[in-house]
Amino acid sequence: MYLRPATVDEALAALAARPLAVLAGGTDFYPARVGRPVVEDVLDVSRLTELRGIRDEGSHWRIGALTTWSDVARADLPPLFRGLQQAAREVGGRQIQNAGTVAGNLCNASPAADGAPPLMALGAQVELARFGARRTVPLSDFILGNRRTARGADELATAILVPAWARQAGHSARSAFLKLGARRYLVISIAMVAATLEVSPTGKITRCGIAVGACSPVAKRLTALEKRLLGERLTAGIAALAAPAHLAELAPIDDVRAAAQYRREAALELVRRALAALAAEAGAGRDWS
Amino acid sequence: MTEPTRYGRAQGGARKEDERFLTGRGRYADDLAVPGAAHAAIVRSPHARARTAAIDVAAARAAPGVIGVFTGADLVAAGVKPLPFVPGFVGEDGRPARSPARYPLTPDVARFVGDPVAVVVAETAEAARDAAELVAVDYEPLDAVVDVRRALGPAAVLAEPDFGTNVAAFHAIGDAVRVDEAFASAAHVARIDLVNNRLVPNPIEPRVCVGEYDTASGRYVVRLPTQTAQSTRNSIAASLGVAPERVRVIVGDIGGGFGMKTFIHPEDALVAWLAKACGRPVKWRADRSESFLGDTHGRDQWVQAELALDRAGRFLALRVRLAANMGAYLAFIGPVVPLRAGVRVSTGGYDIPLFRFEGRAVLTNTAPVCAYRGAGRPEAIYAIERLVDVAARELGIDPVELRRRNLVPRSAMPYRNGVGETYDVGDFAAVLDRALAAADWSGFDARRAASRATGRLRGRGLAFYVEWTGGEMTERAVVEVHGDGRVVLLSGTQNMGQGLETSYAGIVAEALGIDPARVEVVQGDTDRVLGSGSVASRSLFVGGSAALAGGKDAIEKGRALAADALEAAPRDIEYAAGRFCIAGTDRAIGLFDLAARQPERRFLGEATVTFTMPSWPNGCHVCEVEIDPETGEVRVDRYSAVDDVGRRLNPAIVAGQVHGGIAQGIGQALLEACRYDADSGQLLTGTFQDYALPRADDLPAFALGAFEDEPASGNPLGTKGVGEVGAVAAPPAVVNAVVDALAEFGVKHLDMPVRAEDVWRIVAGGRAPR
Amino acid sequence: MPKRLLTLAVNGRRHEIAADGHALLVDVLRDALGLTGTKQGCDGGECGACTVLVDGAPRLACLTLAASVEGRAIETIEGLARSGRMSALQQAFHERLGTQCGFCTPGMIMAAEALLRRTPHPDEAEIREALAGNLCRCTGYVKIIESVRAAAEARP
Repeated sequence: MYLRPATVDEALAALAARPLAVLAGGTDFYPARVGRPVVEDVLDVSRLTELRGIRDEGSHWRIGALTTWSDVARADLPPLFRGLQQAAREVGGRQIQNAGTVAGNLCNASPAADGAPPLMALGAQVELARFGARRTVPLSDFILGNRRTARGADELATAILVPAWARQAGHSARSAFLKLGARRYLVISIAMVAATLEVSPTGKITRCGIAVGACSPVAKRLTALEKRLLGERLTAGIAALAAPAHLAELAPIDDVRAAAQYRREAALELVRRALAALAAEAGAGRDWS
Repeated sequence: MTEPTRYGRAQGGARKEDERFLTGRGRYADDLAVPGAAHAAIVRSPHARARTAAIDVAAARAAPGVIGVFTGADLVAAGVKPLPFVPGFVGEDGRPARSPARYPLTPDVARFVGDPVAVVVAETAEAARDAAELVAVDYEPLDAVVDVRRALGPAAVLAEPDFGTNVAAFHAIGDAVRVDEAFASAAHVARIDLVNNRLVPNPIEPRVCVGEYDTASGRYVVRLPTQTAQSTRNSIAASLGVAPERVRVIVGDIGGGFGMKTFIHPEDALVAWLAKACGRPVKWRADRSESFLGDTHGRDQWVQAELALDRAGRFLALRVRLAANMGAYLAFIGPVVPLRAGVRVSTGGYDIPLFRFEGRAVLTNTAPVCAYRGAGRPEAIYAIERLVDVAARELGIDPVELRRRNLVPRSAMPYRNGVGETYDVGDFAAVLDRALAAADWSGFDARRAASRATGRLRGRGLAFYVEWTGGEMTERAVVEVHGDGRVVLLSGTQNMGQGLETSYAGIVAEALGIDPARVEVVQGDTDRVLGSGSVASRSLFVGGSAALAGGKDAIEKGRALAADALEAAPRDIEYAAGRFCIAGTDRAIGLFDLAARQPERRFLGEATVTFTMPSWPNGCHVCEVEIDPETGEVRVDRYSAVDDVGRRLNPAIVAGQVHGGIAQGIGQALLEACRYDADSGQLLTGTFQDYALPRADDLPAFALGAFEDEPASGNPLGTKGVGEVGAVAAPPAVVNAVVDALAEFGVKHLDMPVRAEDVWRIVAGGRAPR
Repeated sequence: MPKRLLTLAVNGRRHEIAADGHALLVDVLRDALGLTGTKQGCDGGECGACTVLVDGAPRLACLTLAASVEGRAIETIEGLARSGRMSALQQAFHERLGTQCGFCTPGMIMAAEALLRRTPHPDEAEIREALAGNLCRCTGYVKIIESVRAAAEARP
């Protein structure tokens, strides 16, 4: 069966009736099949244009579930989203960026999903709808493991909600994203790091999110490091505060791409670079949100 | 016999064959509309070695759309024979080299992950794939060996236990005693122990084949992209147990070959047999994942090399011991690659009087290994060029200076190398100098300082190569002059992207003094033309020389016909610019008018050329890399090369060939690795996500220079093979640069592909923990 | 799987095709419409050989359901030449030897076409980035990039 509803309500009704494989951009869906024909029933959500686009809703930003990577990369967004936009430009080639959706990337729950670290570092939530009900789940609770999420079989991810940062007067926020692979495009990453920092008018870090991907089954926030950074002044020295112990929660694996030890060390280096880059931009007086 | 010519020189870069490629009208095998074709899907072994005890095909046979399901046992029962491989090799015991019999489907034991065990033919490709899932094979897994070093170790698992050894073929060259003496008295011995990484050729067009059988004539037609139509035809016929003439192989456009699309693959014979068995055309198209599993792979050699030097840094002797992973079956020319082709240039561009070689072709439970761009020569040049750099570093001699002291001088040409091969011409020192100038070798220190200032390490490396090209040294050409104004060249070589239609048309047009647009090139149809195909960078200098001779012969044949037509003696007939005329008169007849007067409205020229001298392209490639010491990432920052490929008929085509080879070489050096799990034999790198082909943003631009002062002496065009040189030169140039960048950490060698992690380990190990 | 009637606008022409809902655009183009210029070189999303334009943006036909692009403007390599004359971009690939075996070429040209429509005068880094989703095994990309640049330079 192949369904292509025109409205979210129709889609939810279909999901309530039977299990369906949800298909948006298809960029993860087809490659996972390695040439095998599609046999499962498919819910193609590509017509739900109401779910496409990024909106400022005051307390948070709403990234509709059909928003593509290209949409993100090209959107006029505050520096808070620089990291996510950088990730968007490094997901596959242009063709993949034009088709693949940010929400689909999260729902597919690959350990190497490019969207997970930047969105986790932004403190994002996933909005899930089922027929007649709607809930939001923090992203760190949404992705449960390799290819497993908290989405119920009858639920549809309808949006990613990113809380507004820097709401107090004079505060500003910015993010960065770095990725290490055999090269930038179209390989599974060895390590990815995203960092979001909010700074007070006196230059102190008032809020932050640091997340690492591809170094554990699920991208992880480095909560110990985040605590350590709070209250620190954002200067070039900030990078040195990141220490191996802050990455203790990661559980990188040895595989054909890289050894665990290298992943851990590389992740630490990327964390430091992300922090240094943000400090440099602050020092250079670049526009923060 | 060099006869300086300007054949083909007049053309620009634009090629005859381009328009169909640029407008989406290429004629690739997968694009053929084959009326009534059924589709085949192959069941492949998921085990590195397993007995296929029982295969239950009932469910598959009953599936919707299925026409037939066949196993290896069915093929054997029907009289299908194993695929042939070239004879002439011996094992360590002196008896003929052995390979497990390779049938299009294995009837008893699957010998690598991906070995075909059954096939489903159905109305659609989708139905065939669905039904293939239903074929129940009762595998009895057996121990397997995939790594060549393990395969030679004590108590190694035997890939084919009946053989009692994993060594399928052994070949030695040189006087061991004299070489040992030279080593014993040497002032210095440099050693290297390396693995030349296994690669998957991966042309972007996967293999496709379509088999047809005509009951009335009893003939088979197989359409497929092969570089060697005649050899493939002969092997298909051998496997089917019929005379070669009963098989016709037709080749359209080939979406890249790189040596992988040579000779016979099991599916080529299989579709022919299936077409007869099913009574309709049968098509098979490889998925990319199947290509990774079932295409022949390249390289995969373990090489130990030693170089003896005297006090002055002169090379005295070279000893090479190599073990080449052949995979589970000897591919058609599998052992030729390491034991015959590569070894010819083991001494590279250097004057090394004494040479000893011991090579073993080793069976393992992996995909068969065969030719891949360069086929043995990249491995040989990699070993000698890494070894020379090791020697230079150990002796504290500048690597350029050490090379200069030992390069074969121009005055020594023709020069017989330590292996016994004769280089006809070459000015290696001049090529080296030109390459260093082009690379701004002397400006390196400033660039290194600039890199340092940004926290990066910079290294430079060079590689000097000599390549043997030619393979089969005979080729035939037929030049048909038609009354309708066309000239058709038939050649048994094969276009696969290297621009042969353009180059050949230019050669024939110039020989006949006509517009190249009038010349059509026909290749890849064994009913029309036979030949040795396109391998070993042979096409232009062997096939192109044949085309030239064929064009000249057409003039001679035309002269006789023109004499008749003009009622004159042949010796009085002159030919120029498309007209035959009686010398000193205005009585003449045009080339095409003459053809129109003949009974079939055409006449033919034909020629077979046979050369004794291979061509020996040589060159020097220089690479600079920049390394991020904190992450280990390596970036090729500058790459320049000067290649002596003799006279260049079409400089743009030549540059394109070199570019492509360099890209594949950089891929081998930094990105590409085909890995099997050492214990289970599972292929770990089976998609483009894990096997990283170079992409547009992985590579820099390459600066190329050409050296044309020493045209090849062995063919009238003066050209040397160019198709493989980049892939030969780039790996050592890149790795030498990486090792140079890491010199301060005391690293001697890094195996390919050099991954960021490998570099990071060296840097991290060489400094205080943080 | 029941067939549906799809209406696709390909190279400016409307086509009605009976296809099942799962049908991929690449298969519909190649098999139903005979537009075999769109190539398939991988098992999905890795090689770029099937790149087509959907409303002017490059997409992979091997990952696109035909049904999902109904009513949108689809362009393939066959649509670039106008009345038998190659486009300026195709001509640039011809003059600069931007094609060798030709198999990646249609996808490469379509990806480059999309780039030039959006960014008429790209620098080398932008060209490399725009083509990073398209694998070529023959050229080392050197002459492909030269071709795209030449086409851009020839533009007003």
